[in-house]
Amino acid sequence: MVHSQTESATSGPPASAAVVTSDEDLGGWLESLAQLVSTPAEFREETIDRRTALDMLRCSEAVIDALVENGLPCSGAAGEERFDRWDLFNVALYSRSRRSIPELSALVVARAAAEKPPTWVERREVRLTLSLQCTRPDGCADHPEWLVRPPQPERFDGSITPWRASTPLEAATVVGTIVHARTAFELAATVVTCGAARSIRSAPVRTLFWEIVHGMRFQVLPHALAIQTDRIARHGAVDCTAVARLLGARCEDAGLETRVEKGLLLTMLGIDNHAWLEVKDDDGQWKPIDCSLAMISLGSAIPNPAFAQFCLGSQFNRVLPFACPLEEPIIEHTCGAVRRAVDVRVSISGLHSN
Amino acid sequence: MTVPSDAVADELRGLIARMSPKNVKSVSAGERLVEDLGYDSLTLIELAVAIEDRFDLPAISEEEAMRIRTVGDLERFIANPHGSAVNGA
Repeated sequence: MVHSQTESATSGPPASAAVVTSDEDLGGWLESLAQLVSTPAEFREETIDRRTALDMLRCSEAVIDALVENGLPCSGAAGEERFDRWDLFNVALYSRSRRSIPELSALVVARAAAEKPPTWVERREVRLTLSLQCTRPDGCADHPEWLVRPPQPERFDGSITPWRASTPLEAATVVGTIVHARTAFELAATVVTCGAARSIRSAPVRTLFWEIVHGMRFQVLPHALAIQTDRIARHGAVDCTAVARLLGARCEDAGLETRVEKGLLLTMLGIDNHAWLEVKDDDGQWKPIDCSLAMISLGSAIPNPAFAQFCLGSQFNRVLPFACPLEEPIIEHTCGAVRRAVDVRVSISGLHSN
Repeated sequence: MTVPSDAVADELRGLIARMSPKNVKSVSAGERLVEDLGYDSLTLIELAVAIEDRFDLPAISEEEAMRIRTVGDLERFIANPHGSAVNGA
């Protein structure tokens, strides 16, 4: 699960949804804060104001006050604080509030992981609609360009219908090529994903997988940090990109071929950017290894060791691979010669599985 | 068709109304969670968690959740969580 700087998969409710917390609620927040691996100074983005923090955390002002009083790093005067987005996300992730957006995002993954094993590999068909909009307040600047990387469901035995785009665009020109359009638009397609249960033969890979899964903490990270493998090993917290690269580096030290792949995680809440490692196993087959999903399951209130084992070599039917360089976003937008954040609204409907 | 007791149905409807993004005072069986009561994917997950906690239910699966469209579907689900939630399904 990654929160990219240029893609936003979910949007929160208004701040009015915040509720009065109880002492018990506060305990979860403070415990999470005590365990937080804070974003290092050179990667911090202290740009989130109180109102935005309330939207993300879906908590009361009292919780924010308590977090600040107990050491949540921030800048600015009291009441006008600016918080680092990654710190906020990670505090919320382990808050046990059962309301925060990060926690609910992880919860849907943990719940899928807690279901019966056949549900991880069954064929799933969903209608995926992406509504894309430039986030520049005044709309697109000059020379707007959009690029949507092409999905590759066939890599995981799936398929996708041709994309349909809202007018005036032609979908065929949007996906996989740069399109010039000063507008918001929608892309829709029916996606079939399939899983497959496999295991890893290589003993070193199995050992390295469990060392990382049990030895690191799952948190979201700034991409610039996530790609610094040496730094990540000392940092102690990993996201999907960081852990894929870290495991990849260690597997290569052990003499194995690896590659980091990228795609979307299709969940009940929409999409999350995702990355995982693929290793050429002793039988010559390339197999996915998904440490981050294993860590999310094991770190949840409903841990499932069988799912964590599944993540060692199997393909999960909620993952849609994309042909996308690791360093690049799946959906990219530039206008006024500046890369802009994209507001991505997602609708997933019509689930059929068998 | 299995239905919950009046007390359970009343409590469920109260919960759905309180958590509705539209802040409605009451709900009826035929009302749709998304179109009529303003729920989105995030608030639906939150509602599912609250219902599981309150009525001591196992986690509502992804497939079950996607089939639940109305207040009545939810009432039938909590009355018979291992059966079908949807009329005619």
